[in-house]
Amino acid sequence: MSALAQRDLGALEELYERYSRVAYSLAYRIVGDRGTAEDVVQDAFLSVWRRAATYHSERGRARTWLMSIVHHRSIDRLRSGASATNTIPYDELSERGDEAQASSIWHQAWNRVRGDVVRRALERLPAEQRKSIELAYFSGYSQSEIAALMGVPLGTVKGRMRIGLQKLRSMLEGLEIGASSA
Amino acid sequence: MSDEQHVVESAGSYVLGALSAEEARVIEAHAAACPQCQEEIAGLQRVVCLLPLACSSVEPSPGLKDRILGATREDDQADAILRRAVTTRQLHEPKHDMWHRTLPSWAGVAGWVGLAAACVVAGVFIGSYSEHERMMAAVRGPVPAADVVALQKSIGLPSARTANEAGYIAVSADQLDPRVAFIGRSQVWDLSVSRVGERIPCKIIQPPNVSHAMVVTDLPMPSKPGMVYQVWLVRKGKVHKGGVVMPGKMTQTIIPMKVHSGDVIAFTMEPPGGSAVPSGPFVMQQTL
Repeated sequence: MSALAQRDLGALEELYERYSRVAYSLAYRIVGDRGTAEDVVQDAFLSVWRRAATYHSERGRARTWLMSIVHHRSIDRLRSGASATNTIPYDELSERGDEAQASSIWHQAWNRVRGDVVRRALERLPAEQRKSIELAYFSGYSQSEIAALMGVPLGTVKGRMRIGLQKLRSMLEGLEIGASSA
Repeated sequence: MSDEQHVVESAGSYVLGALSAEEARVIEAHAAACPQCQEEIAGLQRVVCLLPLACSSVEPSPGLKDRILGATREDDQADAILRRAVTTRQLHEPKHDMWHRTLPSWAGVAGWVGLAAACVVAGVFIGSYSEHERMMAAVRGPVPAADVVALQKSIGLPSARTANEAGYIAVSADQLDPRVAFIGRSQVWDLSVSRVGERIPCKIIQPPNVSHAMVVTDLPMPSKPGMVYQVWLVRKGKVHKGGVVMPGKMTQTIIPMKVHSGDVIAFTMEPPGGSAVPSGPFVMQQTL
């Protein structure tokens, strides 16, 4: 982050190589449109570039910060109805070619391993807890909206999200899945 | 129910972004003074930051990286221009005087739902005399609520996902009330920014055949008491003065020239009434 704060484009490129795929995947999952997802990712990286000088490490790692921006921008787009057109199925999207750098490949492989573990952990949650978490995080619903959608009291939704996240934490902590070199 | 119980109970909703801005502020205010709740929230946030990994991996287009790097260069260029404007105080003065006008209180309450009507009313005050006359004819009487909802959809204004959404009407701008249609044909840029639990709306609206652009936003109170925000436009190396944004309420102001893609919009903190040249710190800067 210190290199980014000093306007080092190389540092931004490195950040992009490491996290663009995860960032784009998250944006695409939320907005469901390739062009909109790329706009979101571009906005997020630019935001990091502009605000790197005011970044405080106690807010968390750079990846956490970047993903938080991607998530919020994606939910904004979703709520403003600016997407949901021209959706391209996952299997039609091109895979990255040989040009990827070794470090980038390593990070992608590591992220893929971690992704598998997180997905499996999510699948092990009771369905109502997983659904509550997914509706909030990936679909941008408020807790009140989730309560209405699922036909349960608000307190139940709060409990499902909190307990579900606590279970995820206990499943993932032992695996050091949060470890990252960034 | 104690504050602490409330925070713990809502910690999951908070870290997942499922609270309203007001609810999130309650959590943050409590957590700021409660190490136990801070720890609970931090622990859940560590889990939430892993959720993106659960998405199926999708590759962005090969050109995205170059677009981002190109945008940073443009951004740096605009930043340098703005800073030079501050230090050299050589400002290209706009032809028009600065205007600003605060929306009536109902607009703040109604939020974006009332934006369409508010913008039309605003248009009366910002145009040249002929524009004033032309728009005056279309401003009398209340705007039909259904048209406002339809407009909200047609120009992509943000809204909470409420029953209103089901009420969106799929009509073209031409089918709307003439006042609403006027705004509906506008070009709109969304410069809204978000942080946890809070969204700062900001729209730049360029109506057709009008020589000014409107800025509609709801900025938080400036960190320096007594200061206000002021909008600036950077184009081709020159800084153009815009209006003052009164903080703490849904406000509209103007940029006294037509705006288009590629222009850079920036906000600074300035003394009451605004400044002829940017003198305060830049709080937001985005390219249209």
